[in-house]
Amino acid sequence: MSRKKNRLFRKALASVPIHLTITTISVCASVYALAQSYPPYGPDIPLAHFDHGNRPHLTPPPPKLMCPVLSPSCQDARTAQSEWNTQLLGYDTLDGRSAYQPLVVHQGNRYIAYMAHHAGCAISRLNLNNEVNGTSLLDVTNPQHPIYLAHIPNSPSDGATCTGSLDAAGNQMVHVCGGDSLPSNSRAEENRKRGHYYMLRTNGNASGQPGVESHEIWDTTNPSSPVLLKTIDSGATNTHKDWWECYSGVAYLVGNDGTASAGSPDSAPGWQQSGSTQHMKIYNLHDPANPEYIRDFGFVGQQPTATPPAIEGLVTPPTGIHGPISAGDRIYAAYGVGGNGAIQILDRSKVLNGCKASGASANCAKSPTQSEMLAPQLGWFTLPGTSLQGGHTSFPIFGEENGKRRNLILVTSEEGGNECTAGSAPHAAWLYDVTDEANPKYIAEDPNDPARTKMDVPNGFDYKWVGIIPGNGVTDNHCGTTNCSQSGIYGASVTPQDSPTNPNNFCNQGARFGVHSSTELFYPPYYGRLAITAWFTGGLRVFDIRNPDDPRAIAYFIPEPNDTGCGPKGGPSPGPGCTMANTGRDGHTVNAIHTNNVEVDDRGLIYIADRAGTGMHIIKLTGQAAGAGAGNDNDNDHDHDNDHGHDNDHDNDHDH
Amino acid sequence: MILLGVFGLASISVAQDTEIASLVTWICTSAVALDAQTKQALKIQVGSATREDVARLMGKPWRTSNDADCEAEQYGEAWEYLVDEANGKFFRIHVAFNKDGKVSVVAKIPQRGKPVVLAYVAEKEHQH
Repeated sequence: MSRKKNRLFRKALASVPIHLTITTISVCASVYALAQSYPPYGPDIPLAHFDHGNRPHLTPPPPKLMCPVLSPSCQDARTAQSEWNTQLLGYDTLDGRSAYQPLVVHQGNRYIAYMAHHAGCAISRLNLNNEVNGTSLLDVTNPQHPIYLAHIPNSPSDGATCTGSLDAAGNQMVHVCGGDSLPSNSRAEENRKRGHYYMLRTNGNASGQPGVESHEIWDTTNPSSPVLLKTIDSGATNTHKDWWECYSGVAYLVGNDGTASAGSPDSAPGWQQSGSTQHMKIYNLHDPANPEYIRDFGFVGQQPTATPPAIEGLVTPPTGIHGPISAGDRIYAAYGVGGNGAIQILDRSKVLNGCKASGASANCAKSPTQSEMLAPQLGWFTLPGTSLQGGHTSFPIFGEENGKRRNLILVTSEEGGNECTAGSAPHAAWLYDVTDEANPKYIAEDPNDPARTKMDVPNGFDYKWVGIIPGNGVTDNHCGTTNCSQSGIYGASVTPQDSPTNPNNFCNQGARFGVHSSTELFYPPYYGRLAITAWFTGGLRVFDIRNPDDPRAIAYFIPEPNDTGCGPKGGPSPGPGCTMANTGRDGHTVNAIHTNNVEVDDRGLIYIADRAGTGMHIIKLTGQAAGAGAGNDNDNDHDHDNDHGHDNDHDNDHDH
Repeated sequence: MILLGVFGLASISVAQDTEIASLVTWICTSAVALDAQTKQALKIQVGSATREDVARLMGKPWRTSNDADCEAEQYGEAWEYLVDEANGKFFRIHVAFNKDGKVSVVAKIPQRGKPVVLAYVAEKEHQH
């Protein structure tokens, strides 16, 4: 759409009858109020409405640079704060701790941000002690002025100290349920939990020592003074991305059992995986102080009694799980993380109740048979790019189109190497149509993209691919498309590092460039409209998926590296510089941004966490992205219209 | 001592990029003003120095991090030291470790501008 046409289009949309606006506001207000009804908090599922709107594709504006032109007097090749249809509302350094996952909970009349950290040590602003990284709790009720309430250090049971090994430290994952949402078996239990909030976190890093990790439940009713309530599965290893249904209490814990846990009653040793060695341990945590073990589960071929070759997946044994998401009577499980990926669709009831059924084997819960592994499985698929792409996040989107049911899964892989490591693939996001669960179908394919998807971010600052070697066709009957090409890969010299004649690209920022994750909260106004993802050095990336067959980039936000300090407002405390360095190709070392994970709250605000210790940024959608999030095709926020994107589909006007 | 340090790192480093050129330039232009912390950092033997060696040379770090999750191809443990240049400016000494617990990178991170790699050795592929 041309600029002139765009102006006319906006003018036309400005004349939309006022009652439509009022209706929209009313609908949004009602979904805000109901946001707590959806997973993981409640059992309801919002219904997305897909269309075939022929919306113009946009080329995002290039990011701003610390040195717009590299010269002898200005040699800083990093990206500076850059926005496209976004606005920064608030920021906190998190004391300079590397952060994995943000989670913002509407807790009473406040919004509490639970920021889950990687391993490490930093000085707490609250007590000036050097504390092993754990979980930071902040009051973000006023997003412009976050208040740091507490830091819960990593529990020392994993052996981590600030002067010794950090191998097993860190508390990367967090979930929170309210006691009023969790079901109770008795009036006494109900009374005991009333008004309380409970935080489930991993205690240990997936790269750590075997058998010293665990999951923990903390009472965070007073987020300024959390209290440890229970340790679960102590002796675990490779703990990672859990999921906790607040409406049922069922928790899908990710990890494996090390030898140290062999003596605990819920230990299930012997599960086997390639790559990331982790599977699901399923509990009911409706009463967080008294966990109830249900069973262990994973991909068929991972059970302790499995014998090679595996009958499903790309490798034997199949790759480990990264994390599950449950919704309705389904569980969507992503395996492989960054390679040899597979996504599995499971019947939740059969998973939870399969070992209670008559005829179940005696050791079904801990060591199921192959048929017991297959019984709950409704479908599975590999990814475009096969072995070079992994299953990191599998977020279901239930919807309709033209009155007919249409269900999708948004899948992300994970980039694992710094600076687009030679031979590795650009990791991206994909949409699958799983209306027929037994026959998932890959959609939104872009055969010209290295990862064959329209939901990708090219590495060049001009949004063109640099240094890509095309992929090869491979045989794979489970990728959901007729062309299962292997992903393209980065060549040996993708980026002329710091060349004064080349303003570089996202692969030249020291850290990883590629997708990591998507949001997982079922926030109704954005549900089925926006795919919100974290793209490491590419920052926050938002795609408009209302027409899921033709998604388009619609917003981004790249934070500025913190060169001023880890104090509460980004100033010195104790000294300047908060963003840590990463080392990429040939020792190239840069302290640049590294957006790790992203989540929304039930106000529609977006929170991103930085893996390089920069902190937490709170972001608001503006312009076209705000409009798309509200279901409109006009800009929803004219005061902050920073739409500098360029239509690159001039002959393809909107069909509304 | 500085020359010995440079010779030592050059003999074990496999880096062949602009960072080493930058290091040589930096050493030549600022050798007379090297601060105590940088002198200590130059003594760190990449590829062989352990956490204990680094602590003995540099003291207790200001901040540490280990973001090596299950898919990390680079091991993620790094230590940081803050250095006050006494002229209102600060810089950081960045020390990264490989999976074997040996130093893989030593770098000087200015408050603004381009980091200077003091020493680097290629990391073994991270597998687990």
